[in-house]
Amino acid sequence: MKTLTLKVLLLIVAALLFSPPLYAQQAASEEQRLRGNIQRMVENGPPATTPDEDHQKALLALRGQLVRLLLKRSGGLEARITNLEAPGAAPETMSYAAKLRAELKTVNDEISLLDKTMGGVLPPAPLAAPATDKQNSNTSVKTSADRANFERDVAAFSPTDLKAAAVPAEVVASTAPTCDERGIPVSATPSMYESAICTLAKAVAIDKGDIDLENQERPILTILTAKLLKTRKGEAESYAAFVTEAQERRIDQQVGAAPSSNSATSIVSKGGIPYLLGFAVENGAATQTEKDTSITFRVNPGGLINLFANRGFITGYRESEHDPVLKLLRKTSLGLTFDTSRGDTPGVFTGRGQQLSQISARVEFFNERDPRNRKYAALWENLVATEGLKLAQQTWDTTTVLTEWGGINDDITFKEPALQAWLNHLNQAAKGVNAGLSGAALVNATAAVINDEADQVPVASVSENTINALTNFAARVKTYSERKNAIFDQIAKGRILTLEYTNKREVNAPDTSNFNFIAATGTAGRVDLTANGSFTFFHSRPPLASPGAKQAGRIRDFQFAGQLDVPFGEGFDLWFSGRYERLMEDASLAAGVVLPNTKGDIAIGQVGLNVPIKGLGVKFPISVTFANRTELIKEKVVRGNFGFTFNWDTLLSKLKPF
Amino acid sequence: MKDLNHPKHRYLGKPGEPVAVDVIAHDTTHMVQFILDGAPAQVLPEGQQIRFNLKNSSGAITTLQLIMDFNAVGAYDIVVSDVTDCPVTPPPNCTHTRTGPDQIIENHKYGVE
Repeated sequence: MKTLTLKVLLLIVAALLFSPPLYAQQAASEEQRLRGNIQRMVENGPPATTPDEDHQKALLALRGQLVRLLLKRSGGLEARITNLEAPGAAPETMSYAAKLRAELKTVNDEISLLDKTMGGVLPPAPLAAPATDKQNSNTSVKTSADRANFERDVAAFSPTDLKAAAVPAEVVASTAPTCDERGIPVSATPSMYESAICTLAKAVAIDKGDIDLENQERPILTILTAKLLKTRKGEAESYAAFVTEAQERRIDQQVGAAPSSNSATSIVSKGGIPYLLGFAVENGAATQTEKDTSITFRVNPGGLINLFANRGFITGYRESEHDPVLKLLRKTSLGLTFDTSRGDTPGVFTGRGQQLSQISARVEFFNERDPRNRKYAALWENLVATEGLKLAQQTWDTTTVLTEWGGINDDITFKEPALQAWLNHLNQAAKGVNAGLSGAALVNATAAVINDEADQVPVASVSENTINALTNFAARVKTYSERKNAIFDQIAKGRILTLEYTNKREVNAPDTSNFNFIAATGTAGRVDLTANGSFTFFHSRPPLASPGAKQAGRIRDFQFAGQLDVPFGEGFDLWFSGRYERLMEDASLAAGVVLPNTKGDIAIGQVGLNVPIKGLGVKFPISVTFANRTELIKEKVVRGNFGFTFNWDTLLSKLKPF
Repeated sequence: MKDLNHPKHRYLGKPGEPVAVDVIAHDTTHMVQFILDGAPAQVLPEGQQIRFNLKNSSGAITTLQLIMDFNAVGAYDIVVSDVTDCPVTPPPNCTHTRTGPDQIIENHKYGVE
């Protein structure tokens, strides 16, 4: 009884393992369609005495397509039979293998018949090399005759053939990503597939290069993983899903950039330095009663020097690495805030000295969120030496199965004519994009074409060897990526310490200086905690509030603040913050009038949301502030604030990436 | 050694000629592996060169696969030493640059005259 159960189980397992996948059924249906068409052409051909060349060509093309499909089926059957007849096969398994062998004979007979009918005009397309676990040297160099045959087979694959061999669009279609000029998706959560499309689009549109196996093997393999493994069962399908699923961006688009501006819409200052320029307009005072519109410009001197030296985003950053002065300047920023309610024409931004209300400077003491920080060197070395090395080995193993390197003058090609035909067609289509476009527009138009072409991967014409090699590669990519992302998650919890100095220029009241220490650290789930501690002093003692009143001290106030940032979606940021301020002296109006009995404690709470605009570096911060009082009026207050911030780094990276 | 096809990384030299390839990271931690002529994959530590000799028989090819990864939006300069006919940099070295942040696989061929 036990033996019978075991045999039944073996049969079920064998049936599951070797059952034809969805695309095989589609291929069978395609065979039937071609047979029907061939029969129709034969039955309705011209008289034998007046042959028609067009009719012969069409018939030959149909028979050629059928031969290729049958060859594919024959190869698949042979592989299944070999697996079934492996040592230890049960009689039931052998019986099933015999059934497949009969089917194989039928298929091979049909191929022979077609070949005979075609008079050997179209030689059978070679299948991929037999399964090899590993090739230590890529010595499978084809002779020139082999190469010529291969090229003829590739050329024989028409766009119609490719379309017929592709999986229906509704099964594998993907939406084209939006890319920037550097070939990076603008989405905050790009998939590996989207990154691959943008990389290839940039290679063609900006670098004017080819989509080739010499330079672009990695994004090509990603696209093949997404499309070829999509129709498979089990783990292979999960790898296709892995490369197409949205992933949180681990590498910042802006080199060393951080929130570019701290606005009056927030009651807590954030650490970080923009690479070049930050710009913010805010309306609605969070901590004072006077509701003014202020405009803040923040500049990174190092970035500005690079701009004037006509060095691009990456080049400038690279060169500053070797220049100690530029390196120091890169960690600083200067800010100028203009109060538009001041000056001769209140409400209008003039940019004159009268409207200059604040000058600030920042210096970053340390930033542990930079993945290149030496602190993390051991983590990266370990990744490279373990999972990285395994991935490299698998990459080579997959390369040897999929590609043919040829002689010194040959391009590296796919071994399978169908895949090479697809790659050729992809190049042709990508290079045919409207040349009138330029920059990011050209990259995106090219990306859309590449995305469409990716749907035409000839799934039905690809051998099991290729599928297996790709599955092994995708498995290693997944493990490696997960390990790498774990390191990024660890780094995201790093600390930042920044000192900010602000010189506030009053109209009539004494000017003040404020020193603000800003510290930040990450927690689980990329939630960010920021703390501020600051004190402010007067440059000159304020006038007496009333005759005989006590002379004010030099310390104006000290403050402590904290903020919790919760990022979500594509660049959205929800924040909760609180601030305690001890006003040591009575507050003054801008006109210089001291308001008596205004010193004391101020508590402020805030809830806010940063709403981003994709790819533009613009954010709209909206917040609601609750306070027990303001500096000027001892009454509870609830106020809404809004504004927009603009990170010039994003624009620079689009206009002049290198 | 002669730069035979720069965009496709094909070089041609004399039998047994020494070859040296540097991979220099900019704005990223150095994360490079390579497979030389199908031998097991190796890590290329920062500051070290890939060194080998061309084969001895005419027409023989040595293959090199470079795998370069990034942890920031950086770049790698790939410098092949003692090269003539390089269309982009003056002799003796021939340099090309690859930018991240996505992992790169680059395939080179070194042939014998």
